[in-house]
Amino acid sequence: MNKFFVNIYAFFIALVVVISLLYISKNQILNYYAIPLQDSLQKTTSLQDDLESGKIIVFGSSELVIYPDLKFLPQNYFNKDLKLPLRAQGNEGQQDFVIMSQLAACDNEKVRQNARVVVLLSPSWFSGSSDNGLTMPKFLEYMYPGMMNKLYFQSESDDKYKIFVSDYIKNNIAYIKNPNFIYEYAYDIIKDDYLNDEIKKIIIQNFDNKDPDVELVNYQNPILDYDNLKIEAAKNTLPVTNNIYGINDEYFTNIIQPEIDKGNFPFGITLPSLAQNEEYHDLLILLDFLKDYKIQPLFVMQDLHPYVFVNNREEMNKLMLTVKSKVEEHGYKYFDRWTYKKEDYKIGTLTDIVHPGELGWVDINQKIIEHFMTKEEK
Amino acid sequence: MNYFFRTFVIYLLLIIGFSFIILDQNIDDLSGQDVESTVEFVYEAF
Repeated sequence: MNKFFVNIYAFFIALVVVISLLYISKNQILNYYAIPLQDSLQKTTSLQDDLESGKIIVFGSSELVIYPDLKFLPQNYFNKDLKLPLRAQGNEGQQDFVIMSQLAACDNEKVRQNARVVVLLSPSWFSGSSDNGLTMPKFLEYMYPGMMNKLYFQSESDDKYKIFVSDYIKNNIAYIKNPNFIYEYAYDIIKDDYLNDEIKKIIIQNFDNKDPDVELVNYQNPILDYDNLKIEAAKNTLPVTNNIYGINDEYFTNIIQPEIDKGNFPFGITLPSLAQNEEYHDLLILLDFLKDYKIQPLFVMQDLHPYVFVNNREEMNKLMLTVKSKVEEHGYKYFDRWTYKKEDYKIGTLTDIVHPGELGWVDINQKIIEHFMTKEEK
Repeated sequence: MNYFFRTFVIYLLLIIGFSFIILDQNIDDLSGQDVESTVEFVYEAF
């Protein structure tokens, strides 16, 4: 036989042998080499499972964790009292961009069909002089290597969202200590390396131990008397004895009183121009990303205590109206808790100067129920 | 037959070696440990 054909034949037989060996022993090889990778990827499946199952996921920031014992805090009230599954995702400093990044990482057809997403927006995310927007420590907390791998090598989201994330990293790389591969190289460079990109996708796929058939969550609308719940919420709230603003005693003593003593009260709101407002632009990306979700997401704009944040409230009000119109332009539900005028504010809605108290949470919970648990689903 | 066997073994070793290098490199790229920021997050109450 011609030597050329012998070589071709030998090469293909060798290739088949190696591929077969790799396939048969893939679990042993990958387990031996890559336990840290497996652990990191495993962390990502919980959020994706919950998105795919249609469990209500409330993305927010400090309000979800700062007073963890409140009865009406959504994760407490839904899971413990109503026995309805709900996931709270986030802590202080989580903002629009990293919410979008996580959703983009977990994106697939099932998520788009089933996800029920609530985003608790804070006016304070949009304020500040020139430093508003997401900070790198919080980006790294939620977009750890496993989540980044998921975004670049497994997610079905449009490439433009991956490029947004890649650009954010590129622009802020100085804030990452010893960046490893996934942060060091831009998405387009990784994608252009076709062979390695495909191999990474295969490796990630092999580690994907998640349940392919996540059970769908169906909600039954609980029949609740919200007036009674508000009475209960008021009873659950510790009496305020040292101020007329409804701010809890401890917070007022530790945070507000020293500012009054220094002559810094009431506070003002500092705002960058709309063009320079990083958080506003991040919100627009999030709004654009969510357009493919079949179930309309719910946005809740929280408040800044109108008796405390007094100066420049007019400018903040204009921004809040712009945010509201942008959310509604996209066809999403917007629950507006922002109060421009003191007369419209109900004392006790916030427990301090920015975070909802029991009363505030009852209103938000009611909106979540009304939005995701319509009578048709009963 | 001898020639076929010899070339088969050579290709087998080459492919195993090449596979090892690219698998090792790609797993290494993917299995990065969590990294820290050079700045600390400071939560501001207001």
